[in-house]
Amino acid sequence: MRTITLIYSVLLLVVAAVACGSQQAKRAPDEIILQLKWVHQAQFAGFYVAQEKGYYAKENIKVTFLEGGQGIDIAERVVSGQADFGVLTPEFIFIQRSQGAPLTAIAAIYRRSAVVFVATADSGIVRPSDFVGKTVATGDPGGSQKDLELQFYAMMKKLGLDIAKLKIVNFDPDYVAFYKGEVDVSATYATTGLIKMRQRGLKLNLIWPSDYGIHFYSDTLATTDRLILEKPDLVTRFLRATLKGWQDAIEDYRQAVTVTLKYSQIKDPELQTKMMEAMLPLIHTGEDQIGWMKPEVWQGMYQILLEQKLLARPFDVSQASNLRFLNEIYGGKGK
Amino acid sequence: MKLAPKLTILFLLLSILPAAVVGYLAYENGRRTIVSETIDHLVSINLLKSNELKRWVEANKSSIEELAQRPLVKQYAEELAKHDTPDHAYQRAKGSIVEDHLKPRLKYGGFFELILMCPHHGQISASTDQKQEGKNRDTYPYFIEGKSHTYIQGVYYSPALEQPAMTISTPIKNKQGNLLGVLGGRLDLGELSKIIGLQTGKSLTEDTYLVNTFNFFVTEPRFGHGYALKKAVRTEGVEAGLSGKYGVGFYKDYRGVPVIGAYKWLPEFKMCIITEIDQVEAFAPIVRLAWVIAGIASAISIAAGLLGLFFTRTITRPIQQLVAGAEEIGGGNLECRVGTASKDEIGGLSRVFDRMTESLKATKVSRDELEQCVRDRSAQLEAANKELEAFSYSVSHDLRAPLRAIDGYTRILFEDYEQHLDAEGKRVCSVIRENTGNMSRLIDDLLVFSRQGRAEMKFFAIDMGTLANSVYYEMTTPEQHKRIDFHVDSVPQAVGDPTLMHQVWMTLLSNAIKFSSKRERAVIKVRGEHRENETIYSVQDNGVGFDMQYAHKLFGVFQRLHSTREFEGNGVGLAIVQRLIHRHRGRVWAEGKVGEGATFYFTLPRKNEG
Repeated sequence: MRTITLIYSVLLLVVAAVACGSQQAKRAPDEIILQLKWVHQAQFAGFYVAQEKGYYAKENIKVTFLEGGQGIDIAERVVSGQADFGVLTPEFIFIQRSQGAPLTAIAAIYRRSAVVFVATADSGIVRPSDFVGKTVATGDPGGSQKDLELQFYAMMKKLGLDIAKLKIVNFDPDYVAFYKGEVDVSATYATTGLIKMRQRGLKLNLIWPSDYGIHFYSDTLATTDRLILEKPDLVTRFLRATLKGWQDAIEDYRQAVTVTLKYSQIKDPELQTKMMEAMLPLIHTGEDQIGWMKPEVWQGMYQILLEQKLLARPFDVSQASNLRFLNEIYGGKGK
Repeated sequence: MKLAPKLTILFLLLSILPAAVVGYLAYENGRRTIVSETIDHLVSINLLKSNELKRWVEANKSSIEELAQRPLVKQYAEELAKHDTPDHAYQRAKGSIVEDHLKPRLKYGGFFELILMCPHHGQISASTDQKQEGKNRDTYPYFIEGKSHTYIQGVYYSPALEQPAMTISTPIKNKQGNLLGVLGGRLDLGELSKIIGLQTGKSLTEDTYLVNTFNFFVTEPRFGHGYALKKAVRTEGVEAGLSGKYGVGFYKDYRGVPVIGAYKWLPEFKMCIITEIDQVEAFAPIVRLAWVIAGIASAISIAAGLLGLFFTRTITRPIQQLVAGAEEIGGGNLECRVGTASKDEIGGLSRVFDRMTESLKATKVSRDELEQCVRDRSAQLEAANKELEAFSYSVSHDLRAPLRAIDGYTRILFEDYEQHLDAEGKRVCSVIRENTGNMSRLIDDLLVFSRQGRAEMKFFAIDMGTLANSVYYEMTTPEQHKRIDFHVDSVPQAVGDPTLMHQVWMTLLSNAIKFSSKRERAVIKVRGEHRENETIYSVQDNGVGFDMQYAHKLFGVFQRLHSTREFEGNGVGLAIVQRLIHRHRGRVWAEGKVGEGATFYFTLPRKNEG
């Protein structure tokens, strides 16, 4: 008799547990809108992998991706609440913050900037000091390519080179003038423009701003102070799933390309693969975990923007990034 | 199951079982040996290659340290650190250090680029690759660490080189211990790959590679291209190696192929070295061994089977002969002999069997003789019977003639010589004639009796009750009916010859009427009932009866228990009844007591009914 009672109570407990479990599972997923920096392409592969492998679903999050594009203000989308998270470069976070908008980076996806300056191999231009007297295409044409200009000026200033002695023209994503030889040096991204140039068979000298003391993060994941304050758990879950997606993407980038091709407008596996290969060292630098940030880098970036007078007013730079979620996910172990 | 397959299977089992056991033990032993040899081999490759790696790094470390110790290098480094702006002295110092010290060292191999960094901002002041000059290395670990001691920055992805790189750095200090610069050397990873990827044997799948703490390949594995620092690997072996363990395992490698892998953590490089070999290749000798063992085992089994078959034949063939002989003899051929020559138990058995047949044959011969004898006697008996019958017939027939003559002449005497005979003479004549009449009847009866033995019988179903009734009314007068109570119970049917049965009833009923004639009221009962194999019929009267002492005499020819004077009759009736019932294969007997009547019984076998 006692055994039967015991069995029954155990069964009841199991049923109750299952019921609770299913109830929990039934709870409506949190809906999140992620604003991407640009159109769908391998650049955002980690997000796609997290989505396709169900990492978001496992965190009970339903994610909708919003594409970026010419003329779309990513930061504004997030600040205005049209999107919950945004993929954007640090300078926009600084600029928004200096204007009082509460944007905070929670992880740095691209911990090395993809910004690189190129000159043809036969031009003899191998370092910034060689830019003097030449034409450089790096000016901001208005959009999300502010980082090109920013890093250029910062580099020249750091090296004490006089920009008055060279001619600066606007950046052209089609590189028409550069291909014609009318422009000696062009800024570009290692993940996009550089691939296109090399596909044309060009032999190039690369001048990396990071070689001259300019350390910029590229794509960071940012959200509003409000969301961090009100739903820190949601932020943690979203970031955890995202980082898992990125971890998978860099560990098997060919698979990540396959996933990317489901989303991308340009269904060119070769191009997306090359992009992915160029991205890998920027995301996984061989030091620290994926997405890890260093306060001194944020400080350095802030200083550069401040010097270039891009900020409306100075502010406490520590507010621009928040390491709390990375610490929570990695258990305080960056390495 | 027959003996032959049974024995064959037994032989097979007896041979396969030990073969299988020995084969399995041999296989297990061989497998263990091969596996442990393989493991030893993999472990020693790991040891060999990691030692080679260490030696290579140590050699390059000593090489760069030696450069940093050169007085001239120190002098030029001091020169370069002093002059911020490129002036003449600066250019000369740079030229000298690059041309006289750094570039010649590249010729030894190991390094493909040597750089000198300023102590303050990590700026590259001199390099064997001129393009690198002016770059800042202040955030690079090889500069930061290299300021104080010789440092190896493990394999990392160099954006400047756009490929994996490894750099050793060492400080350049003056006699006072002040830092004059940091000397860095980029190692040629081609050599690293050569050391790690070197094929040590003829193996087609042996694969050695390095994996860093981020689970990324550091060197290219044998079956991957472009994996170095671009692809992560999370196999059992790698995870164990990265957790600082040292050992071997059976698991699936980065291709998903089952391998035997040896892993070893290299703390000085923060990497693990993995050497794997496909299980298919490693186990190939084991598989070959298994095939050889299986081949030997099956050969033994086949041989044992064939031998078993042969031996079984030698055992079963005599048995089969014995069986065939027994069948032949059973079929009646007593001339047959098994005649096995073999000296074993079965041979003995067959010889005993032959002896048995011999004696059986002798027994059968004597039985045949006996039968022949019986047949002869029967024939003799039959002949004698026939002779006897013929004799009795002829006797009775031949006796009539003189009897008729006596009767005839006596009558003539009586009729023709009546006047000559006195009263006494006439009386004598009538006595003579009376006695010849008696004798004539006796002869007739004798003739009837002798004929009964020969008449052919015809079987029909007979309603015995009706027959008894009709016989009774045939032979009695209405006056007699008044005096006799005649009862016929329900009497079963019988199968027999109707004429003969009629005679049986006539005799029995007439006897009953006759012997009860002196009673005031005669009671005669006819009964009948079925028994197991026969039906019993009876006629009971309440006449004079008889003494059971003489019951056996009732059915004898001419045997009488009463005088002719008392009851007429000549003593043949019951003898004929007995004869008729016996011819129907029935029995007949009587029970009675003097003065209390008698009952006559007879039976008819029921099988006649069919």
